[in-house]
Amino acid sequence: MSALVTFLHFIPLSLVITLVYNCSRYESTSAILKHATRSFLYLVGFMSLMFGILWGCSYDL
Amino acid sequence: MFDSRIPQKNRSLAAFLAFLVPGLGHYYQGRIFKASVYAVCIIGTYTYGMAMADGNGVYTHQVNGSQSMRNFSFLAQAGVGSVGLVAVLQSQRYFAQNFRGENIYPIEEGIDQQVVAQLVYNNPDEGALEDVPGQLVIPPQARSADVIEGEFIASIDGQETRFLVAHPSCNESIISAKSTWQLDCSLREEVNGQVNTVGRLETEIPREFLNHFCVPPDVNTIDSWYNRVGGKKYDLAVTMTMIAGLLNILAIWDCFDGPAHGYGDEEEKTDSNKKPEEVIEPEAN
Repeated sequence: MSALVTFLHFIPLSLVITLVYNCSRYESTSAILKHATRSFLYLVGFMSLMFGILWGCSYDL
Repeated sequence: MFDSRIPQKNRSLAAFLAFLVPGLGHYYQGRIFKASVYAVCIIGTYTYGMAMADGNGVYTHQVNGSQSMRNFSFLAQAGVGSVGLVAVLQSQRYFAQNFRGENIYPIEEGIDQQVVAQLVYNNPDEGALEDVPGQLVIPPQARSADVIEGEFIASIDGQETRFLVAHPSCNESIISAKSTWQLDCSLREEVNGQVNTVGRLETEIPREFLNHFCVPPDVNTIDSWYNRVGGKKYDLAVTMTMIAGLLNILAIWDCFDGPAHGYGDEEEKTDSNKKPEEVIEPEAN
């Protein structure tokens, strides 16, 4: 398994975690989906930002 | 907290069902959307993790010689109760067996199995034939039989070749984390009406599923999993089962005590019920 494929597991895993977490917070389907979408975007955005910073720092090493 | 709109039914039973199978407790309570989300997400992640690790990676202990050590990742994996309970039962079965190095070859059942065998000759000039595919047939015999014999019908370069085999033996415990058991037989040849042992045959026979699934492995078996699956991939697979187990704890609690922040439409209600602020007109001087 290439490193990229391993790395890309974080996307479905983030989706699963945010969905299950928000399911345990709210009962209304619309509230769950709304909060889960927001959490997912925050999580993936934050991880991508961190990845970008670390990738930039390690560029040409 | 439980809202009056959320069906509780018997919430202890619901929590237990959620522990056994993610989503089952919510399904019992009639919360179908949540049941579907929990089932797909948690069972999906757990199954994917186990499939990545070739069905391994969930066990209560690891064994090193006569010592056993707890597997701490199991604490998280046990969140999915059905697999966790199986692992606990398998652990009990494994440690209860009293293996003293006896031959576990099933004499009375016999073997009729497609295998890949290694044929090693006693005469160094003849060498060895490696990875020979073929059918190993050893008919069932009485336990008191003097010689247990059969044949190995090999396919070498597309040609069928028959080898006589005898004295099958396997000195492993019946319950083991290894998915196969190693069978050794003596290899025989008939020359001028006389049967002589000319070498030995080694092959791997698949172990019964319930005799290897979730059984505590020894260190060498874990090493072989690492080598077969790949270190990083195996670690990722175990991590996924751990994440799924931990997520199911949230699902169990949701089943027992309801969603943590309430129904979820409270903010909208509060917003729509808000009265417009009264405008206080300054008094005229």
